[in-house]
Amino acid sequence: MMLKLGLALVAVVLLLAACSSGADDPQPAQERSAAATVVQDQQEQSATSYTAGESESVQDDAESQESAQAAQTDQSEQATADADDSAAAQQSEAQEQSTEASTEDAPPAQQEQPVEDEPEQQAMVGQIIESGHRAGLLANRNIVGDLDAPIVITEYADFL
Amino acid sequence: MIEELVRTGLVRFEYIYILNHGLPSELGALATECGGDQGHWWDFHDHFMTSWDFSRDGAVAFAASLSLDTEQFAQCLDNQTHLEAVENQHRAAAEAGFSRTPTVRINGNGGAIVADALIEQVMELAAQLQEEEG
Repeated sequence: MMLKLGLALVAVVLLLAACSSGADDPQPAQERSAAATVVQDQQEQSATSYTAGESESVQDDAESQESAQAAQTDQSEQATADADDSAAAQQSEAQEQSTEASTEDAPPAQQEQPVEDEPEQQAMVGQIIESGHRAGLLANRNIVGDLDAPIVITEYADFL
Repeated sequence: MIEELVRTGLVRFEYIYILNHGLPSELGALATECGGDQGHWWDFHDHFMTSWDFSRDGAVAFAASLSLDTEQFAQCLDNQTHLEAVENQHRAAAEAGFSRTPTVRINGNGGAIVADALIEQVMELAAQLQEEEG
């Protein structure tokens, strides 16, 4: 009887270990499957060892296996639920981070600013002189002519 | 003639203030900048190149003759709105060694003061650039 309790305890411990590690593991299903295999192997070994001449023991073992399997199922469901909760939490967190990042990277006011400044920037590039001997030339204050012109004449002068 | 070169797209012309004569130089530069606020920088440039009236009232009268907003112009002039920009131009030019007036540079190299010689330099440089591109 003590052996059966021991086996059940080992099975529960292994299942708990498998479930707890599965929460952090990206492949919890594989982990649970491996743990279940280990438990099943141990149970099979135990059953093989104690089958001879002890049918009561075998029946008790079978009950123990059922109990262990039920415990495993419960643990698996709990682990799955925990994993789902964890995934949902991670997804929610990721969405929040994404929202925060987009907010930090491009504040709405700064995004709208260049659009509003475009006409001013265009005006600052230059305007066409309307009269005089420079009529028709593009000018921006002290600069007259094409900004891409290959030759630049600079005059340093005083009006006096 | 320089304007004709500019018109071809071959040349860009820039004018840099040198303030070698104190307040009159400063007033001329400030008035020109205030005229530039209303799109008439070159009108004031030409005005001060040919007129020797460097008074506030004279500048305001010229602004009125151009049908500018004289109130805005006078406010700009009285507040010395563009003083820092004008002084920065003068300071940068002086630091670069171009405080003698007039000084002409063509693509950063020495340029002739006399118009015909300057045009000849520009044409030579243009031919040189065409050869390099060709």
